[in-house]
Amino acid sequence: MNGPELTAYTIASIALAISFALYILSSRTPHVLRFTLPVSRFTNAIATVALLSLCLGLAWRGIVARRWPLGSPFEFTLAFAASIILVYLSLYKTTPMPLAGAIAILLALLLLAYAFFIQPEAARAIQPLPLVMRGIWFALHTLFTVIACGALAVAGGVALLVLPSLSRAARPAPNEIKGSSIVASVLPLPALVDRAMAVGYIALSLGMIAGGIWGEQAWGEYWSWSIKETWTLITWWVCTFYYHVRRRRGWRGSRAMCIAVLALVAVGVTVFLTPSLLHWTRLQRWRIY
Amino acid sequence: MSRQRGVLMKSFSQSLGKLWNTAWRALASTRLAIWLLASLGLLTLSGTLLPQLPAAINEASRAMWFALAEQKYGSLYAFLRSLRLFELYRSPAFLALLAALFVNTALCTVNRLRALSRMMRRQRLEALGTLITHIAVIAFMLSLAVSKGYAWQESAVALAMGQTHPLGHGKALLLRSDGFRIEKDAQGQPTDYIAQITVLAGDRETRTSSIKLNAPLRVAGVSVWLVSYEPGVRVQVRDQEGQPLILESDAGEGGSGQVTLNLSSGLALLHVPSAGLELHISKATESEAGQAFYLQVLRSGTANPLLAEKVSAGQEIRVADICVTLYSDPYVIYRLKSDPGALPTLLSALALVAGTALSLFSESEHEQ
Repeated sequence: MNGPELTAYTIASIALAISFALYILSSRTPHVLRFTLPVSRFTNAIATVALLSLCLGLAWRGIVARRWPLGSPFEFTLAFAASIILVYLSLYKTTPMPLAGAIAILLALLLLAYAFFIQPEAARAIQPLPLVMRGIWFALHTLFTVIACGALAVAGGVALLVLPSLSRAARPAPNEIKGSSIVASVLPLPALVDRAMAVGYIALSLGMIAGGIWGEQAWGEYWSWSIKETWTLITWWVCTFYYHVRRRRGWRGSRAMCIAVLALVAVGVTVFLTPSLLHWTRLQRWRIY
Repeated sequence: MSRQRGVLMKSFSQSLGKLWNTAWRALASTRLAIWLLASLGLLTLSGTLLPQLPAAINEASRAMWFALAEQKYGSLYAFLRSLRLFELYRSPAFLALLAALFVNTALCTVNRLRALSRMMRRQRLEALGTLITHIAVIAFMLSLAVSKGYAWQESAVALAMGQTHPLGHGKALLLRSDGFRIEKDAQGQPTDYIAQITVLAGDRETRTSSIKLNAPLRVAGVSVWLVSYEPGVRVQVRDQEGQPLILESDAGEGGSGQVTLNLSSGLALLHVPSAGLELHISKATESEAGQAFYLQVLRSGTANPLLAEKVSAGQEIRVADICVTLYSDPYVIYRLKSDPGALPTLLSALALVAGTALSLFSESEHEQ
């Protein structure tokens, strides 16, 4: 990794840490530092700096490698973090709540930590990609997929945050008035989950189509039931399921949020666990396929 | 009596009508769709926990694959195989669920079509989006069925330079391989693989083109991919006067004066019947001077070679009244495929996304 690229990621990490702290501070101490318009603008501006730094780092990497910079797991993880920030900032106006920002930024920070501290050193090096991973359809496939991952992560993360409050709203304690205090404070968040799920669902579908076209051009197959493809399809099933149940009686609220969390889990498995699954299911000494 | 029969008939037809309505409602219901989606999701998930038998596999490889699966799963193997869990995405259970989802979506769409004019009057864009999505799902599944029924492919057609192969079922076209080259960068790393091909209609050349990785050739409804290449050698054999000699290979290739042999198995055997000689040729490592081969020339039926040496490509060797020249001529492996369902599948997938986007985003705007 070269100097400018590392500098960009360092700036991104610092900016993310600051914006996370500000979001948390705003949500924990509303009387001392109210999440008023200037503060929210300032916090979002810092998050934007993080987003731009990540994008610049990846762009620099692409220029140095002379290829599309979303080819390796390391690059995808960084783009995943950037995508979470992008989706949150795009949807921020629909539900301007610091808690949602905090969870989105936390997820992005965790991804950066994973990329820099858990992924092996070799994975961070700029490597040439196999010749088959080139062309506009591969680029579109990775771009749409990473946006989908970011959107579903925002949806799942925020859903995870709201779940306990929604469950409490559904079953209030004897001395608690339904719709009061904390419960009321998170009530707008399911709308954010809904929109993030919509963005994720559409982007995932487009990513799958672009991936299919890329696969057809490269190998003559739109779909090959590889573990990664299959888990992408599972994520898609989960999103489809969400859109069929979210308005139904008995599913509204906490159950629908559980499905959004499930989408986040499916994204996690698709991105991080499919290599382990592949290793686990591989037949010994089977080298033909 | 006849009045009683009439009453009975009326009550019977009413019951039948009720039953039909109940069945229709159940089959077209969102509740059924939810169950089907959940079941499909869980079944798809379980398929990722076990190895899946590759689709394009011959009988011998299939037997070997199952033997390895038995070795891995031991006493569980018979149970897992009886449930078709190693071929889950082709299993009757999975296909039945997909068929049920198709029926559910189709009936649901019929219901929605009935309400279309009402939706349009109320300018409910999200409902229109949902309708488009459902029609796209039906079209998508039908397109997959067309692919399943009418697509064909030849997964590995190996052609040396100048060799031809029929291009597709019932098409009077031939594919001729005209050349192959590997482009490399300054460090010697391959940057591209390029095959030159010509499509022939009888003796007439109808199209000359090159095929690269990620860039198949589309011609007359058939797609041609460059899959890989295998080492090959073009052998030229003449007598002392320069006259071509008849050649026969063990692999069934034959010719007068010249033949191309596939070296992917390591060794190729060529007979020169008129001279009573056998040529054993294998590939030597590629050197800076270019491609080289190991050549052994033997009298037919003997074990002691008349000649055994490393020969550079293009170098003429004279031995036992014949002249042998070897040239590097790789076999290019092509994949031929025709899938009439591919384009409709793609278009319906795009319509599905467009319908979903219309449905979800017009709904968001409406809410705002």
